[in-house]
Amino acid sequence: MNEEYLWDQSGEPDPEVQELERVLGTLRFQPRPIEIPHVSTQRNPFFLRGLAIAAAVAMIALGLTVWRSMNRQPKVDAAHTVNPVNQTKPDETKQAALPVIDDQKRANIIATTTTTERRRVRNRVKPQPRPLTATEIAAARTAKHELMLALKVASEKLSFAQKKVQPEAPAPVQNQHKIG
Amino acid sequence: MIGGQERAPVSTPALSEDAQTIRAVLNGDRDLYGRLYHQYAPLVHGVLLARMPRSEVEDMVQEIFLHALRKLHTLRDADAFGPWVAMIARNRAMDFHRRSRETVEVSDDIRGHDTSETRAGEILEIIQSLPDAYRETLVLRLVEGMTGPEIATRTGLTPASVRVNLHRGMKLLKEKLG
Repeated sequence: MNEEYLWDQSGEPDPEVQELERVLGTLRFQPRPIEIPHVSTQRNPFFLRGLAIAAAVAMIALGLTVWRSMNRQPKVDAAHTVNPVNQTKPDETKQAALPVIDDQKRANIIATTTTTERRRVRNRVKPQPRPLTATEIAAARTAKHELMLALKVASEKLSFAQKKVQPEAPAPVQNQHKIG
Repeated sequence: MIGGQERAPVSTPALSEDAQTIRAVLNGDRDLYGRLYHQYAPLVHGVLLARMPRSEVEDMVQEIFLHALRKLHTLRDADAFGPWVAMIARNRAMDFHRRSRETVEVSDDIRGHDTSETRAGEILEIIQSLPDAYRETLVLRLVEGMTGPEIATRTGLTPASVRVNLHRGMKLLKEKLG
């Protein structure tokens, strides 16, 4: 067999290969027109970009939600809230009449007082602890009971172990008579 | 590995024109896709013919090129269109066999066909029974009329691999032909 002819049809033609080419060539591809439909071949440059933006917005919203839930202050009972603006101190009524103060000065005093009072109120008013539910109370009681039981068992085991380790003290001699 | 399947370096001067064509097609000039079709249809036809019944091949060639057009934007290396579309063809042939299951294949109706085509069908069946690497190379060489260098360029194989496949494939074919 002429290897070169088989490789690139160069050199002396190989009769066997030529015969196969002749016979098998009848099966060769016959070109026919291809109908190219309207197929979108372009990458949509906006799709991925929009997706990335939407994902970023979603992440930011999620982060804000988590941050807000972590930083949320417990609600203060309205009954315990002191409105520093309207608070009337018991001493105020007994005080002597104050000197006349002009509007600007009054506003400054109020603002300063308000800020100071607010700070005092904030420090004074502590948030009330959330009352336990019945379920939580029952669970706490059960846990306490189990803990007491465990301590009792442990104590008994400790006593038993102690007795095993330490020999029993001889019983006191009773009714001992002198011999001799 | 039968016959060696070394891959040739992709970027060769002959393929840069393909890259330009692909770029133009991706930019909207779909008519240029016909050029790729005419250039690589024999390759796809040969790859399919080595693996599938003849009656199924013609339609499958068109399907594969339309599929390749839809997925053209996923082609990472524009100079590798040939190997890429050949791989699509091989996968489609595998899918075909999976779907068709173990049906008894009635060989192509030989009645009414001339003797040469009958003989061609018989030889093709023998080639299809050869190992994968040999049959594809032999079909591309003997049916589609490609030379060894052309087969190497279009499939992405190294010339050395193609040469070995041709030599060993032909030797086995001759043994089976008797």
